[in-house]
Amino acid sequence: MKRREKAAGKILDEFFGRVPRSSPGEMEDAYPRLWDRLWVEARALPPKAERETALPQHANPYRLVLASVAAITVLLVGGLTYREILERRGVSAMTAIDVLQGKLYHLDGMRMIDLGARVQGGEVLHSDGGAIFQLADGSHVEVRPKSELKVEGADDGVSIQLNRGSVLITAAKQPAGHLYVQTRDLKVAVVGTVFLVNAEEPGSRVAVIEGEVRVEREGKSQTLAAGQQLKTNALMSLLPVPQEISWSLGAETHVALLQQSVPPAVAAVKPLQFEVARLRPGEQTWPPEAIECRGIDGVWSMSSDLSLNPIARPAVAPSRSTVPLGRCVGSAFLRAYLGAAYDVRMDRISGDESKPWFYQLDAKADDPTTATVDQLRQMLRNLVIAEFKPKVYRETKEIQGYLLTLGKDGPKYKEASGEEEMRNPRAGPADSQGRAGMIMEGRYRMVRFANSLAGSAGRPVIDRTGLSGIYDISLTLYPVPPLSTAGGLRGGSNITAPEFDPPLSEALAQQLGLRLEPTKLPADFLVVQQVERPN
Amino acid sequence: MRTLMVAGDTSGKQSAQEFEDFFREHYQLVYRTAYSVTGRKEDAEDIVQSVFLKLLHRDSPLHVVKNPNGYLYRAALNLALDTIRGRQRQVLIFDDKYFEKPLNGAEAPDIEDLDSRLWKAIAELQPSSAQILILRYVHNYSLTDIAKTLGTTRGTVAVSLFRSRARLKKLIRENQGGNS
Repeated sequence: MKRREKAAGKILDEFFGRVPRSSPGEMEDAYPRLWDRLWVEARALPPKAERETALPQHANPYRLVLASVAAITVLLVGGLTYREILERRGVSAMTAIDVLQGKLYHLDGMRMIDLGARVQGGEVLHSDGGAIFQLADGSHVEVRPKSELKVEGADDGVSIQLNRGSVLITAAKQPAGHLYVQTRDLKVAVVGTVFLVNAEEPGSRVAVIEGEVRVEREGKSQTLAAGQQLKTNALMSLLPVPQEISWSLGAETHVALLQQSVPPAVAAVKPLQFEVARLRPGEQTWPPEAIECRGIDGVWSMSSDLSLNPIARPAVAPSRSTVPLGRCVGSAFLRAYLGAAYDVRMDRISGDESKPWFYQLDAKADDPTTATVDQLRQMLRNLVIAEFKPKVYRETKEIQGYLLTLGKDGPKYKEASGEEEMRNPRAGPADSQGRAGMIMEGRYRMVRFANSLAGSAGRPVIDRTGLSGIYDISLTLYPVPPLSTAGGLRGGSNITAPEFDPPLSEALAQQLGLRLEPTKLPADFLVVQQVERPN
Repeated sequence: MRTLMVAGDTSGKQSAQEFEDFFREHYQLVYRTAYSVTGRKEDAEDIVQSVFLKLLHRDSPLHVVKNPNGYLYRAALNLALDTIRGRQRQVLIFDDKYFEKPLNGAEAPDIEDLDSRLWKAIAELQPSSAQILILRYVHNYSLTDIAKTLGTTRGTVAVSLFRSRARLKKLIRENQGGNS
């Protein structure tokens, strides 16, 4: 009997041992879901009079409450109405969102809103890997990875405050009122359309895929139609809309929609393509990264394009290229092709590009006698996008840079005849202290000259001289200490600028009548989510 | 212990922030209680909603003013026990598997069956006895803490626990007898 008694006690203890217990982590995870749901349900409470008859004595009163179709609001809760409570939290019925795909996080990064969750707006939400949610009016919002936003009530609708990143919105028809997207420097109003808004440090971009939107900024209003784009900072770059939205899960559908939406005259412009292009995997060769295009107006070389290649030597003379006219040839890793396609410096590309794919390229324009460098670059971009099918997004950040402007007395150099010709820097005469000089000289467009100064300035330099011709320019600099042959001319904001005596800005002013003005410049960083191997 | 609660403050005012603070402080007790009894997260979340919504409904939740923990725990446990009672009815009506148990069932179904019977027995205890039992053996509260939470004495708690355990052990022995 005693043994049996013991056994019963033990069994009872084991039973209590089996009782499920939630860990602190589980409960912490459940908190945002519980709290947000509480407010959603509270919102649906009936007025006091109804509730006195409709409620309790039920195991699950909130379900009853839901069924009672509540047009709430005046219920007093210790001096505050529910509406007041909700309004204090910046939420209204319109700002509730349903997460359809992916995950969003509250700003503290700790509380996750997962697939299927219904939450109130009013709090800053962060998307790490992208998400899609639906607003109460049925509008779908796709959030790019690394974006931050808040859904708020507006006077006549709902407003999405986009702090950072991009949202691609398929707005439902608004029976009354508007859906707004607000960034730091613009506001977009819609009544039923598909559009992209991107917010970055230097400014914002808007692209319309279907319908039209009204954009307000600096007190002015402007309408954008399908296929049109807008940026708030002139220095920011714009990619074609299909490339701007390539990160979207619905990119293919949106592009098809765009093609349907844009006017026939615009849609009929065929993207520039090579007549023949051969892109094949290859072994790394020396030099490892080389992509060059020769057009009728010159040669573009990735290895000498400081905007793409932070370790470029500005004076590698592209004019000595052996690439035939109307062709692009390449021997480079995938990253270089992506950099060339998206005009992003290779050291600012991250993500899937790290795949060590090396490709040989040989491509020819259909009419080599008319193709310009710009056209060949566009063909190259279209080829890379068609073959590698990259899904990417850009993050634009502000970095320190310079504007190259004219001094008050104008330029101290003359316009040249003929094509651009950049020569290797050469040793110049020694100064009074016996230091060896370095001479940069050649026939430059100012854009290219500004580019070639980036290495010496240690930061990007943007041409703002307003001069459009080709000029004979010669600049002598005295490095302190003397530059090594390899490291001194590197571009990039994070690389120590070489020192000169006199400093670069003084040398430019004295010898060329040019000024270097410090400024903040937008810099694109490309995040590659996915690429495919070409067939 | 916080006495601030919906409509319970003497000034008659409270802010959304204060309510959120209150929720933050107490939801774990409600969730943990509900989850331990029902064994399902969905049920536990439903119960959290019900308990706190009920508070919002009340014009004068005087119980809460003095002892929020006790009130919330009782509410959570009662709803959880209601839930498993309802579930047992559902099982009888809808779950064919319940009738298809093997005659010489394996260990797992036996344990499941025993647990089910024990929960049913707990649900049939006096509410106060069930509350004491769960606080002691699920939440590992001391007798003193249980007395404090439920507003009773250590002696009452001890007696209640003894009786509840005896009743459950009797059930276990009967169950063993039936199986052997």
